[in-house]
Amino acid sequence: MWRWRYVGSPVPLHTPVAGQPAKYVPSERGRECVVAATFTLTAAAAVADRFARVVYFDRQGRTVVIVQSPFKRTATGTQVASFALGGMQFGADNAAAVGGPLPELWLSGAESVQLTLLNIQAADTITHALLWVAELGEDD
Amino acid sequence: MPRTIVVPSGTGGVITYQLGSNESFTLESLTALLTSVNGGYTDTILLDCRDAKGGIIYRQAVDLGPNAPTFYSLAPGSEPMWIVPGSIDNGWPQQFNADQAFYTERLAPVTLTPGCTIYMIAANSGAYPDTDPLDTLDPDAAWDNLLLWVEDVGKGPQFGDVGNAILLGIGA
Repeated sequence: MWRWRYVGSPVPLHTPVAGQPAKYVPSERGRECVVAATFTLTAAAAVADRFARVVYFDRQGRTVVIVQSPFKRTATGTQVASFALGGMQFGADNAAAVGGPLPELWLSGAESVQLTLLNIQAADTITHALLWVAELGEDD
Repeated sequence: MPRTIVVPSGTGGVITYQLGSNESFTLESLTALLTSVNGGYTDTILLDCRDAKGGIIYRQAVDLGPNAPTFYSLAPGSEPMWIVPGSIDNGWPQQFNADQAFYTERLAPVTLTPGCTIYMIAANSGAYPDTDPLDTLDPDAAWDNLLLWVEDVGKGPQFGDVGNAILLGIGA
């Protein structure tokens, strides 16, 4: 029998070193769904077509889903990326804010989520990464 | 908990997975890499889920004007990327940047039963709706790594549970 542990709970993620994604691994005790995910990108001077994305991995580290903003960040500046269940694409190239939908996937421990960029550059930083998570547990 | 099914490759325009005799699951996500295509022939990518007798349970167009390589990522709750807002071309939404090597789409959380088959299809769709896309496959199109993330029936929460909980007022 599945029951709710919580429908909504904020989960701040550790700020990764430059050039790396923010990562989240759910607990082993139940099943978790990422309802919303937001982070701030500070793009370095290097010119590249960066696209904010959320990537889901299975237990073997294989990509099972990618959701991605269609709008790029090309060089120096900040951008807030926000994805959520039921969300829609918004923003523009080099806009201060972009976003899109999230799939409703129920994860368990050892599966994972990364908040990152397509074409992340070595000096790019991801900060203020925050998830909103729902959790279901199974009765013993 | 969910499990992953991987089909390494598919040629002749299609990659498939057929459920075993004791297998029933809900399709939680699907990814696949289109590695080659005949640009003069293929004009759409489709997803078909068919029952054991070949009847169509669920079909959707995934990409119009595809190129290779393109990585496809489909999940319930996702939406098409690279679409011109409000743009319709001959009844289809129109991509604004068809040369991207990455594409996302929606996916219905269909539950499939023994004998059903999932097809990712590269086809000439010009004859629709009178021609089965499996009869207009691009013979030069090839696929790698059809990856299905599935939830076995009765083994876990399902798509829609978050929304249902919120509607029912179940608090944190």
